[in-house]
Amino acid sequence: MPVLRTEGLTVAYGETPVLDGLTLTIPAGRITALVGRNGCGKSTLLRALARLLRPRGGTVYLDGASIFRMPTREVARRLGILPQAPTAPEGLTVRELVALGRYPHQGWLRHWSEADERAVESALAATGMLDLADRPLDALSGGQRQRAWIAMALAQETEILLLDEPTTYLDMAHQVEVLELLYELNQARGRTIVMVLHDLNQACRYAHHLVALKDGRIYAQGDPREVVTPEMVREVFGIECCVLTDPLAGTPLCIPAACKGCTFRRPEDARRLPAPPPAAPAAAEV
Amino acid sequence: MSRWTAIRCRRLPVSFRLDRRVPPVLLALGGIALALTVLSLGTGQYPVPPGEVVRTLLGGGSREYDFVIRTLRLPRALVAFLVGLALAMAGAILQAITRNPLASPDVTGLSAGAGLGAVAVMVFLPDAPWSALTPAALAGGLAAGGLTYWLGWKGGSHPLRLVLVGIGIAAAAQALTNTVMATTQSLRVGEALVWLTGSVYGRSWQHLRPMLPWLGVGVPAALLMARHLDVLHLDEDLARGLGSRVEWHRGMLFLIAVTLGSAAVAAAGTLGFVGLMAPHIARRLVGPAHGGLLPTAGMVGGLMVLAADLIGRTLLAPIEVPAGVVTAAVGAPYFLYLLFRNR
Repeated sequence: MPVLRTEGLTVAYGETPVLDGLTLTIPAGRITALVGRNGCGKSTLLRALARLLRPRGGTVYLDGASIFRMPTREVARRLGILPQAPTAPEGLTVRELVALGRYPHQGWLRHWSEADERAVESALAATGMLDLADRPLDALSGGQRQRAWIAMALAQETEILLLDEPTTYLDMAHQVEVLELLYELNQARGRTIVMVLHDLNQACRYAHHLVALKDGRIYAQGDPREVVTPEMVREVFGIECCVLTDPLAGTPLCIPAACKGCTFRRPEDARRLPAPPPAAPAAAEV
Repeated sequence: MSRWTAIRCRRLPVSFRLDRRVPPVLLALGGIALALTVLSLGTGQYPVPPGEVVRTLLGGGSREYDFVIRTLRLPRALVAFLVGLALAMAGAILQAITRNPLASPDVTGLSAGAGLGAVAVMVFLPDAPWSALTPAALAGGLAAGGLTYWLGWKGGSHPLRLVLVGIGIAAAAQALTNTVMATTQSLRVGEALVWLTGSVYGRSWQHLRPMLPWLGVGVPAALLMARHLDVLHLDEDLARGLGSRVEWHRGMLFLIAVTLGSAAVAAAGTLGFVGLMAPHIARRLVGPAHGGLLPTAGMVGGLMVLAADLIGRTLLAPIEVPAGVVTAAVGAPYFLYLLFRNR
């Protein structure tokens, strides 16, 4: 099992540190979700884990070796990253895109081995994209497109898969579909998955391990059932909430109440608000 | 059903895949190129019927035909085709590494730099032979291209910055060229003017030969790096995540594009818009994967210059319109259309 961990990881954009001496071990073979407010450093952490950012201090180790010292191609054979809202050139078909996932496995004259072909076909099958394989990416719906990107990452055949907000811009059904797909990959193939998620409830439901970040540090981590409490949500997200148990999954379910400083409003409260001022008289219709 | 055919060697780790769209397209373009060449070789002040053109090419023509076709017109047609091929491949590479559909040798300052280098030699060393233009243009192209890359590189060369800097460098090179031309009394200014518009007028074997080594290196190198181009054409983060040594590959490919573009400029001056249009047309034909796109763009570019030269020679005969004017007449509206579409 691959071990991915950070030690004293410090990343800064200019003078402002985004991650501040962060030490974290990603549990192998499990799903880890990184959560926190906008700007808490969760995407930065994911990008640093994938060697896309050079840390100012500390490093990321993959099985004991610093990934910034390893040949980047070798890292790419073991660790895949799907950035947020990736873009592809116009007219590229799904199959062509997925085949690009084989890039780190190819050589100067070995562009399309049998292993490459098998990996692409099986990635297309696993994501249910076989029927759409020869369609251009720009002709697909958001959910299908996201599945195509995941298929590309799968074709890379890495033990570790990092995803930055894989459900953004998707409707509810497609969000569930993508998360179920990732869950199944983890269960069936033992892939280690690390993803940044915006929705705390989705993170609770699909992650084995939750890492809550606040101001570039880890505020809490562990099994969502132990980590997610009203206090933690208040500190990390700055919101009052009530934590219930998800009746379907048995995981914590966070019901937001109100932000710090504003009062909770229910529809009844709204009805008690003073009536709005009368609208300006409309221009005379001719 | 996949559109790919796998080509694999059992004993060696050699394997390729072929998009089934590519061979028929290349064959068709090759056929058109041959037909157009025959037509072009037979057209002029001394017309030669197509049958005679073919016979002469195969070595069976009369002495007059042999002189007209093989000594005068064939090198010109070959220069036209190869110049178009080089510009188109350079354009396809630049569009991929800058991830910008408007990039081309013209936009990145490469052509202007090469033009400046060649004009400087023409004007300041009026006795220099034609073959001196090639290294001068290459030096100018490399300087302008290198400057664009260096100035556009700041914590990783961002695609848009590269193009913006390129436009600036192109303007500066153009201004310098104009200064050189305006301040000199050299008799070759007129010649330089025509040359700057891009023309294959009077090109002979001695103009063709200096191109060949550069294309001989640049074209295979570009084809070998096609799969790196495919990855660079994606996001920066995706390319890095897939294990591409992004800066290194982009630098190499930039160098290849400069080599191809400058060799073309040295042979025929600054032929505008070919490097911009040909890759777009090729993408329509075979899609965006560079293994098929690069050779297709090259063929399309070659055809474009061949056709532009033929049109320029026949449109207002006996007056010759430089091929660069013809490509600009078609290319400028296309550039505006692309700008409009990519607003």
